[in-house]
Amino acid sequence: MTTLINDICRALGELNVAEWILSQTDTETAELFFIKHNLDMRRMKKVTKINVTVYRPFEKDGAKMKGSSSVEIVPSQSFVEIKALIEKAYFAASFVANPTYSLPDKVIGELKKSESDIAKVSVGDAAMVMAKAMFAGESKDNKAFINSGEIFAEKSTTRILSACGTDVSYEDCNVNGELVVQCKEPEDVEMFRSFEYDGLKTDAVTALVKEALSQVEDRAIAKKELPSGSYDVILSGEQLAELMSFYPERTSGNMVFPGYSTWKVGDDIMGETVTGERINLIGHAKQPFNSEGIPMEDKPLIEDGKVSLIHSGAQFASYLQQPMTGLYTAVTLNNGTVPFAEMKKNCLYPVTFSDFQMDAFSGFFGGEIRLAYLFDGENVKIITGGSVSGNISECCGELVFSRERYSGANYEGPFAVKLKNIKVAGTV
Amino acid sequence: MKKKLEHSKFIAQKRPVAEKLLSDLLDIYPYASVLVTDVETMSYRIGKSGIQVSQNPRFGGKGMVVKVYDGVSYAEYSGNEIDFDALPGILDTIENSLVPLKGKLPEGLLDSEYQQLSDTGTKLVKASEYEIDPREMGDEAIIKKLTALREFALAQDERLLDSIHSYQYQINHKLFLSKNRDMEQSAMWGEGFIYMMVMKDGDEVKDYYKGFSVLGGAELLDEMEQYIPENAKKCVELLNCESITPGTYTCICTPEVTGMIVHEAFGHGVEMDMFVKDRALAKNCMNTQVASDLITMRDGNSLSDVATYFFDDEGTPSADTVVIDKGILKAGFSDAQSAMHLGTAPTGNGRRESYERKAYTRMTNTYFEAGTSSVEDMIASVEYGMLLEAPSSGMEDPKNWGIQCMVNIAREIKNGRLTGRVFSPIVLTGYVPDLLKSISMISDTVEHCGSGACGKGYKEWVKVSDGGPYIKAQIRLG
Repeated sequence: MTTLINDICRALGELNVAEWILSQTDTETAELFFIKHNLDMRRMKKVTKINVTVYRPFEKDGAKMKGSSSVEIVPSQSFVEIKALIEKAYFAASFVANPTYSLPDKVIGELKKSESDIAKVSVGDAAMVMAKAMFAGESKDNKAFINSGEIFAEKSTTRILSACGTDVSYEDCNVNGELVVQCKEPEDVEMFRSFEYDGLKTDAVTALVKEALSQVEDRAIAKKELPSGSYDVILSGEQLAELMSFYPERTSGNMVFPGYSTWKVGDDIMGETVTGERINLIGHAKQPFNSEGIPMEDKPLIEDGKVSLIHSGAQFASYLQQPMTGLYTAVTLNNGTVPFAEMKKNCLYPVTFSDFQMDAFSGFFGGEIRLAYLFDGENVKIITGGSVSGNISECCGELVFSRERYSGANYEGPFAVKLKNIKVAGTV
Repeated sequence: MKKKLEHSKFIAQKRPVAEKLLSDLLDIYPYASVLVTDVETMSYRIGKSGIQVSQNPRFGGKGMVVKVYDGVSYAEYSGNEIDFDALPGILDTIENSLVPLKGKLPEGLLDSEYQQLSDTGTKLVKASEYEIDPREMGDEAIIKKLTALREFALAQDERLLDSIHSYQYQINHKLFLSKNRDMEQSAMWGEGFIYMMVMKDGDEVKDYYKGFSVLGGAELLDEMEQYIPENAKKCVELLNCESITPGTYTCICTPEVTGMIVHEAFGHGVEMDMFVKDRALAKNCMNTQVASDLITMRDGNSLSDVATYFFDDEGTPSADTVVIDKGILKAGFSDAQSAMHLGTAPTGNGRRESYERKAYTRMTNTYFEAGTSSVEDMIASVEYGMLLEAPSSGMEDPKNWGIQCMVNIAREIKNGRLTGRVFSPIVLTGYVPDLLKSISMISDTVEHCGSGACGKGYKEWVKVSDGGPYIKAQIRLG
């Protein structure tokens, strides 16, 4: 694809575009779609996409501006088409009256090769390895079974170039997918699970399936007998990951600059009375560079409940006079003091929701319960139905995290958290 | 005066390549098809964060999908190198990597056995219409218009933290070729939104969203201004919102909330690829009463909005499907492969997020038909209840027909009048047939909108529209 990049650079030169950033991603996938034990569809994909952002300096009412506009270019486009698209983008940028800002400094580096075991095999073979591991989670001891599943094995190479001379590249590999488990008796019910790993984590996907099969069997016997009221609620796994997404969003320059988040470095965000654990959250760099070529590495976002970093791409970092760090969407949570078994006392533990959501703007979280365990100190009731709703800003002073750990696509940290006094709409 | 869209020059250039690829594939396989897509798009967004302009397609792009049948099952290749020079490599990947992949299946897993897809001869060339071409209107005029709308919005109330205004147009050009089918279509849709925010208690952003959509062009921008004063008022009302006491209420749903119920609570349950997987309760409820006899539900091209097209991503002409007729479940909708599995006729609902993705059964324009009541009479009939408006999200549960929908506002109704009390946010839960059977009044006009996107689970986003009349129903709120 060097010819394509050459064509783009030639077009940028002929159009006198002085500032630009280009990001090329070549992606190859193998995809398997199963209905029960049958392969319903197999797919392969090979695509190249180049995103070009052009920047245009100009003055408006005596103030310096920097407009930008971006365009996607793919193979099969001629030089004439490429030049026309970039010209259109550059023209559009002249009306984008944003205050001027600095672009990232020049970075040059060798290709950062993937160390994943996925890189050592073909995408087809990687998908088959994960398929074998997924179905290995089924057992004749289970009444439940895998209803359907999808597996995607993906390899990509990204190269970032800029007008100031940046030229860096890296490889990325992952396997991801989803599955639905079903139990037909006594109630015919199902449950959804998704996964994403940066290696051929066969044991993890097998364990995921085993847990899902066990839980869907519980859901088949669950009763709609949850009284409305306030409960101490345990959230775990992906629900905890979703809950924690509040913090990287609230510390991002994208929310801070327009005033949607009022947080500043040094702010104590846990409230006046903290009886639980103080949050220690690290922004995790999933790739070595962001799309603008800013080098990314793991950095603390919140230390002992206080904001330690406002993370941003070039534009908002410049406006906020903060370091250019790139945006973090993945986190590592360094908390956890209580064994999970001890947490399960006098509380409601929803393990699956139809869709658990965290709204970073308001702090509200909630969802409809598909399966929950209600612990009253002596007995455990298996529950379905009802909904949980709360606000993280109101309950963050009493957070208790488990010692046991969990690792997901965008979260690594304690397996579970207990939230005190959360409102629950029951079914009776 | 409406004008017809012109077809894609890119597709015209690539047609000979696609025809050669198809011809080569048909020498090897009993069935093959090639779908070539070309998406032209431009999006504009203005808010406190600044102005953002992008030509990056959110749905689709330039590329192709090749589908082959090896006599037993189907395989697909997605790529975006559509040149004669690239054909030997693509054919080699299909023949030597993709099709044989099933031979590597682990022990205990099997290949599916399908018949060959129907390939009756169809030749079709169609394009949608528009009033104002956004490409002719130009970037400067569109940005000026959105900037003026934002200034007008912020002038409504000084308590507004921000008002974000967005417009996007997308022109989808598609070419579908198989042995007996040659179909080309072009359709332009536009969408916009007004997204207002206020800061409550110093740290809680409350928002109010209004979406707009059209099967057409920049004429949509003229529609947005009139809603600004009302939106600003509703957004500021959220400063005084309360938490609702969980329980079952008599509710009046605005058309946009009705649309969410139609789409999320019921529509996903009649996507017939879910029937194939035994994942939809609706499969066992055909020709039974699933809703009040006031309800008739349709999906397809009887409505003109963002999901209107002439053929789907598998080369099946679009249709108008009556899903519920006076409360009785009559039909689902399907993609071609699911229909073949179930022995039914495909309904033109095989849709892809883009050329990079698999086709699934997806909704298009889905809505309840109008009734006979006036909105005023409906509100007056409520002794105590809530007027639900501003939907924010929903999640399907076809297997168990559970509801999870979120709305931004519930307005208290007491003795047939709105009291001014506002509750937010609100979660709707319950059992779909219970809700639909409880519908006791529906209004005499239908409104619809396609400003959002629909996922299959948590991925595979496609443009859809939904809507309906105001409905009165019993709903559990929390």
